[in-house]
Amino acid sequence: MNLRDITAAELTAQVTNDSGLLKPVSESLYDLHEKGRDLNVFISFDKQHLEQETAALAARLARGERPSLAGIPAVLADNICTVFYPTTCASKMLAEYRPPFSARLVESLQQKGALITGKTNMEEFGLGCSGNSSHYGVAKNPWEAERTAGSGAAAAVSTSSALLAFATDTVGELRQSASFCGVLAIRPSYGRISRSGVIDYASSMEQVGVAARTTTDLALALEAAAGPDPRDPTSLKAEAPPYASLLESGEGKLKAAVPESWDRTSGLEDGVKDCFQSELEQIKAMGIEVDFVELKHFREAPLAAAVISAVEAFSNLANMDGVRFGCRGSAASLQEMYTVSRSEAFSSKLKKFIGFGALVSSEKYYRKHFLKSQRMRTRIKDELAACLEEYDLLLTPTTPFAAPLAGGSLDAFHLLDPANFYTAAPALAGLPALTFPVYTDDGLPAGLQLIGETGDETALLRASLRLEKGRSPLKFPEPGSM
Amino acid sequence: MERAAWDARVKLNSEETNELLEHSRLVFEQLDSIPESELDTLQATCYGHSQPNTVREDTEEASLPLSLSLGNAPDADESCFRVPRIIEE
Repeated sequence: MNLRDITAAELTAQVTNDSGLLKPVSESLYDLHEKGRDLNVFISFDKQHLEQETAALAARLARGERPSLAGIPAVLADNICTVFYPTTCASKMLAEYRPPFSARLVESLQQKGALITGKTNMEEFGLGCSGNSSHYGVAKNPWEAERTAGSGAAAAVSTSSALLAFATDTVGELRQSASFCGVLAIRPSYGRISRSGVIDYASSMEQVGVAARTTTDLALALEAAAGPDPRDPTSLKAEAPPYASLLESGEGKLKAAVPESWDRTSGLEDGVKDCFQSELEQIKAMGIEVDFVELKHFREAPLAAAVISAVEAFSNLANMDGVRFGCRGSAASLQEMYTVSRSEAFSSKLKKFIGFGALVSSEKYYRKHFLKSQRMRTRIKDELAACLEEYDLLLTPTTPFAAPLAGGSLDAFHLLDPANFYTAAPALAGLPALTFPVYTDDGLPAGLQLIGETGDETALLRASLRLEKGRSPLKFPEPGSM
Repeated sequence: MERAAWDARVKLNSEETNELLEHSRLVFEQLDSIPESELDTLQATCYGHSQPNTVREDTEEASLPLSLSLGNAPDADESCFRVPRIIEE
């Protein structure tokens, strides 16, 4: 079974008609996993578990069940709890952690027949995607192994080790890594996918997103994963739309805005700049109206996001203390044990980040900087909402640069991560955002980001399908090049 | 910064402390450059949507079995998490 040339929708149809195909699917997944070992994409992958999943699905199909994701190989970032695999958050702190229950998302995917093949590598606790803080080392980019993939989730889709990947996107991590690996990804509106059973570091922005190789697959996956959940009080009460069936009816007139200040970031690479400008020309040629608009506060988003996410991480990760969760360091007193446990188990990057969160939470800075950042968040949210009243979409690059070299300057500690320049604003505002793969003149993948109105993922998916139809098929790295 | 590290229950070496000081200063300078007067009238946004936070129905459900609850404890006895003594001698 060649998983490189098949979509999730096609695979489900085939497997539903002939459950005998599950065996070759399982064998292909194992082969791809073995071939891609050097890329360090997976934290957990177990052949025996995969065989159990396929056997259980075959039994369901034999009983006449027709689940919507039957036989689709899917992976999860390692901060989404599973009872059948450890959930490490790529941290030494949780290296031995076995969740007592699976995330609501995992239950939904299993109920719908997806094969959850493994747990993927990420930055520690999902914080950023261009550094080197995973306890398991850097996930390498399938396009050029000396570059970072940003996350194992996006790399797994790029190499066909999975047709769908689910991972958290707080300030933009999933979208950025999808851009680095040349795959599509959507971060739905805040609250669209339940966070119950997801170990997040900044709850007010964190949202589970999906990566895939086609728009149709994204829609199929989002439809299966989205919906209200009483176990997550922040989940949206409204039922999610039937994305897959709504997809084809979107050929109407589209009006897109681009922030005038899109190229005013020092980290913008020439290759990405040229690529975005060329994409805008193509989009106009497709009949989509494109206007440059003044969004005065868009550029402030990474600043507000850095402060808010650090304060939330300081609070959210306080229970990783060697008592309630995590590994325990040796110490004589309780206070010392907390400090020793956390200092031994957290990366230097995470220690500094939560140290900054503690600093901003202090009496001296809380009102001055944290509340100010939250007011900036309101201003950014209002500005985007006003823009999206007039326009169907907002377009930007996804990241200012292509996948960074592992061990390069971006490994250094940054409170203001330059990768967040375009992705932070929709995360603060809770808006859906999608990254569509494009390519620089050097042949490296980059991303075109589409931001939509809150609750309207359908508009993004329709626009993405339109982009997909208007160009040659997406490129993926050859298996031999891994 | 020492107090912040203590609050966060982490030890930072001098290099890490200096790096964090430098980056914090950069962030604070940028925040200070945004006039307070532009933001005074705005409410703080705490969540990505404005849906009221609600709690689920207060229905009784089975607890996790003790073995599962203690399964990840770094140190436990038969029914409790075991921690170093809190009152020091």
